[in-house]
Amino acid sequence: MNSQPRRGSIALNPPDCTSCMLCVKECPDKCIHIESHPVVQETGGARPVTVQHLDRFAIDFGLCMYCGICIDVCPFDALAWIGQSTASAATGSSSLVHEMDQLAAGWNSSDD
Amino acid sequence: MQDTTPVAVVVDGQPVQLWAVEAGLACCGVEYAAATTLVGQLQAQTSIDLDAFATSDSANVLVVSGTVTTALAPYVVALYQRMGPGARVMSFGACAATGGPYWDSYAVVDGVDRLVPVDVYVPGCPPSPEALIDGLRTLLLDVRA
Ligand code: SF4
Ligand code: SF4
Ligand code: SF4
Repeated sequence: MNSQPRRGSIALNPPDCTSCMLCVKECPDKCIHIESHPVVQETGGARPVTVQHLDRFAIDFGLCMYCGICIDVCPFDALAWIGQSTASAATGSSSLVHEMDQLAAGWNSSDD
Repeated sequence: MQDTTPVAVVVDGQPVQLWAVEAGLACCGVEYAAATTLVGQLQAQTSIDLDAFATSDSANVLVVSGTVTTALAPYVVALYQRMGPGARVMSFGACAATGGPYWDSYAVVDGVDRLVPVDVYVPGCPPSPEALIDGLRTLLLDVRA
């Protein structure tokens, strides 16, 4: 994993993502899509806490400018550059929308 | 249409002749030209043989690189029609694929596939030379299929 900009692609480590929506908010192209729902967790303490559970995380690489703002803004380092370019698509620009499993596969296969 | 840059390449021994159409004011046109240069330099590693220039008559792939404004849209359609049946289309960059950074603009076509059928979408803003090489391979698979 590498925090330096390079002309590869972007990967996600889902366990590190808190669904905080900062990347969605800051992405100039609005090409990140996140869906989440609140989960109440019993902490054993005085009161339960509510956290967001990540249901969907997608980046539309048909729109993405590879500016890296999402990577820079993520407080939890859940996004990172990977060296491998995003693969071309032959079946419509909508197939450039990469869902969470695909983004996570990039993270896991990266040898950076 | 301000410039048309004819480019011919041979991918894995199979001649694929690219005809780049660069919409005026669009950065991807310049980047496409730069990327093809690197494809030429990487010939040995990629087995992509960039050896000649195609004319619009002989080209079989139309490369749309750059922002397609509504004003330019009719020209893109006309160029595609001029290439005749069997012509393939490569969408190069975010603008051609979806409108890119200008997807919400009243003056930009949000995807050249609204005008002509697209065979391969190369992502990036602009796409890297490596992305172009990947796109050429994808296109070749499609052409052979
Ligand atoms: S690299 Fe830039 S355009 Fe792409 S998803 Fe991140 S913030 Fe959005
Ligand atoms: S900024 Fe990071 S933690 Fe927040 S939603 Fe985006 S990827 Fe997840
Ligand atoms: S995709 Fe990016 S680099 Fe290409 S023409 Fe559009 S704005 Fe310029």
